Amino acid sequence: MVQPTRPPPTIVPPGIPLPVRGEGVAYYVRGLEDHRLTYPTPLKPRDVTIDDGFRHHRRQQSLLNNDKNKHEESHNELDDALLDGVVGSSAGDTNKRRVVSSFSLASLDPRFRFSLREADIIQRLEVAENVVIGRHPDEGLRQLVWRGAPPTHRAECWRVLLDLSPANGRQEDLRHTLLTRKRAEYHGFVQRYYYGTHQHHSSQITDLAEALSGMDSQPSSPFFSSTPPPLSSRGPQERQILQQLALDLPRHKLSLFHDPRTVTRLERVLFLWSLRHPAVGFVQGIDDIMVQFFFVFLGDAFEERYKQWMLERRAAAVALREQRNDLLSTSTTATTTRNSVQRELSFDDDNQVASQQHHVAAVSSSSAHSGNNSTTDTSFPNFASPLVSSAAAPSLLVFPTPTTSVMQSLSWRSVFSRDDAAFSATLDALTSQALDDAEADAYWCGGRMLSWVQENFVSRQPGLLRMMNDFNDLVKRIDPVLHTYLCDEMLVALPQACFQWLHCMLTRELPGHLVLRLWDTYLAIGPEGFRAFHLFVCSALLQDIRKELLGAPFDVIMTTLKSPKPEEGWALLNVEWLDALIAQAYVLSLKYPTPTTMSSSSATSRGASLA
Amino acid sequence: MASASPTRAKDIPAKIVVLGESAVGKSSLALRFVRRDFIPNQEATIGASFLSRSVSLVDESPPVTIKFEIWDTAGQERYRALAPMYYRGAAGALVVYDITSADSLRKAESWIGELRRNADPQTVVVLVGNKCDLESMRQVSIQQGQDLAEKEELLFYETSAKDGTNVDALFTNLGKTLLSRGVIASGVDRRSTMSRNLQPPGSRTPKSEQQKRCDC
Repeated sequence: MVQPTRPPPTIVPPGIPLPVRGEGVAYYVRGLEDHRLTYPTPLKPRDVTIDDGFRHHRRQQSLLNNDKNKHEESHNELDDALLDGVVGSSAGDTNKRRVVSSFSLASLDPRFRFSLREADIIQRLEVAENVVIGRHPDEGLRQLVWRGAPPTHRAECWRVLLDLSPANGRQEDLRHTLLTRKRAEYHGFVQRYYYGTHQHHSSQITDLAEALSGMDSQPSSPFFSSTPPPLSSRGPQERQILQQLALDLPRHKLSLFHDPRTVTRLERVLFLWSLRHPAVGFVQGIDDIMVQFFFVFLGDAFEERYKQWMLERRAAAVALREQRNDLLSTSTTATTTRNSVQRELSFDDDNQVASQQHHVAAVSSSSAHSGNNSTTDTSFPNFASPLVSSAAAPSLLVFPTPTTSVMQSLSWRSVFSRDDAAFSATLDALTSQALDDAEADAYWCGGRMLSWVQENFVSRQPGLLRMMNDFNDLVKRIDPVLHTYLCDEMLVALPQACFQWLHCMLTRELPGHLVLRLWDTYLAIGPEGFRAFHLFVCSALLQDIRKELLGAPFDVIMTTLKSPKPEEGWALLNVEWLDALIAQAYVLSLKYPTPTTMSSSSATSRGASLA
Repeated sequence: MASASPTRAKDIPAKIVVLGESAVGKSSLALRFVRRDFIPNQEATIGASFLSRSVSLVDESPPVTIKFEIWDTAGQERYRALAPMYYRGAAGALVVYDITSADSLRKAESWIGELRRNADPQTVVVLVGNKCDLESMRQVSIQQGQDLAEKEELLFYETSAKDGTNVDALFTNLGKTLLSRGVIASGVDRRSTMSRNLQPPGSRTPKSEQQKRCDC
């Protein structure tokens, strides 16, 4: 009888089981390619973008030296490094994190080399991670975000820039406490004013209550009601807001506006904001602005859920390996069992991981489980401990997990889905708590940003008219030839033709993920300067489509201005294009200073030191 | 300057403005006419959109081609202040309501009133009851629409931007009416239809506006 001390290497792959190893790679390069990179598929250089590169450039500082020797490391070490990379980022300890992914990629494909741009990405990621763990001062954050927040860290960056999280919050628990309090406060508003449950806590009078003082009184309904009262029982202003929202929200194209779980939340956010700002109310276009914040925070929830899922899978894989070792070392007789275990381990199809997990649980109920279930917090640091907790309920197996392919596809970009069924499936992965948190954060952050541009939306829209005039004057100075052709020869009323650019802050003209990148810059500039800078961005965009405009007939001009970057061509727009546009806008703002930009030069100059 | 325009010499430009409550289907109606397309989730219009399509009226003598230059406006109340920029100088105005919403008919009445007060008296106004494919949800009868149109001496159509019912007929008939009432005629400089509009109220010096009006 043979004593099998080690599994035969030809059957059982070295390191961790293959599916998880594949995932380890996929985690870091996810987004590089929409179709996932599966180990060891070579990476295509064209897929590396500044935007997506953040994923695989996590924790790379030491690799900036590009130590060639590391490229020679064996695949076994690579596997372990990948594994550690996953664990390290979960532990949140920067020092202990192993530097893995990029050199892994480099070793996968010799064509992959660090460029200046990638080094820049890495540097930005460094700063962002410091932000997330609350170490970074505000100024550094603004410089970082001016050049684009890493998408995976955008939510926290925006929370800090819009004063939802403290800028100098060095203590994680303080930040957490403040955030929890703000979220609870928002959901209190929802209960009282959206669901109309009036609990008269005189101690909790807020400015919202003051804003509502002129409202018709509403019939009281049970506390924590889940269905809003009928429109007929609401005051005229409330009714008007809700009717307009009901007309407008479902007309958007993205699936987020069609799934009841998300559209209801967006409706509540917009309803409450509009109630709080009675001089503005709800104006079409506010939804286009507010939803950007919902994109960011919901996207963050998707990212967190994905990380959590990765850790669950890793926990299952570790348990499986331990189980395998236990079985192989203890069972000296059961050759058949060993074979079956080996067969299980040799699965490399992602979809079979679940069956492996079942196998683990079936063989040993005491093996480690990843403890979180669907109703508890999805936050990520909770995941280190369940790895060693054998007392945890086997919730891994009862978690109503959507299919593996859905979980794999979760990312911050999921919010831009236009496939209602697919989007609904991705939403299934989130707890309602995660959705509630995203809703509350969107309310506070989006509300803050909207208050910056409030005078664009009040009656007669004075802010917007001023922007339109400023834009016209600016184009006249920057490109007199184009301005003469458009306005004097073709009699195009330029600011009116570009009304939507100014009104919706380019949300309708650019693909969603680029809008978020553009707004990184706006939020970094802050309330004083960003509207002026927006005019420079619009001017730069006008320069970008100049060739299509000069010499074109009236209809073509109007159509081009209405959608300067038609949706059919959105695939061609990438973050580099947008970075160049923003850089161009910055150059224009230096060359053609206006009274408004002079005052905000401190804001825009933040970019100068970084250029 | 006329050479810069693709409009053929015989094309007669006609500026048309589309007004009405939000979500009654103004943009869909314009899109159906211009692109023969229907998008179920048509986002709310911000500001206004411009669309154009030329239509040949072969049974006129001599046959003419009208180039409809359509300004599709935003419906929400807050944008109402911008509307004069678009209906000023318009040859035709479509006031659209939704047959499944009695409220939208009331809004249409107020638009008709505003046009009567502020627009060019020559402007031909068409009352359009849209979404006539949604018969089961109808709140406004055909008779109600016709009564209002008769009272205000308007053209009247019930249309469906979704299935295309009456959309082409509406524009063809509008074109004929414009010709027969002499609102538009061949030989008019097309620039005149553009120059008088799109001056935001109070944002321009009257001088430049006057200068542009002199082009007519």
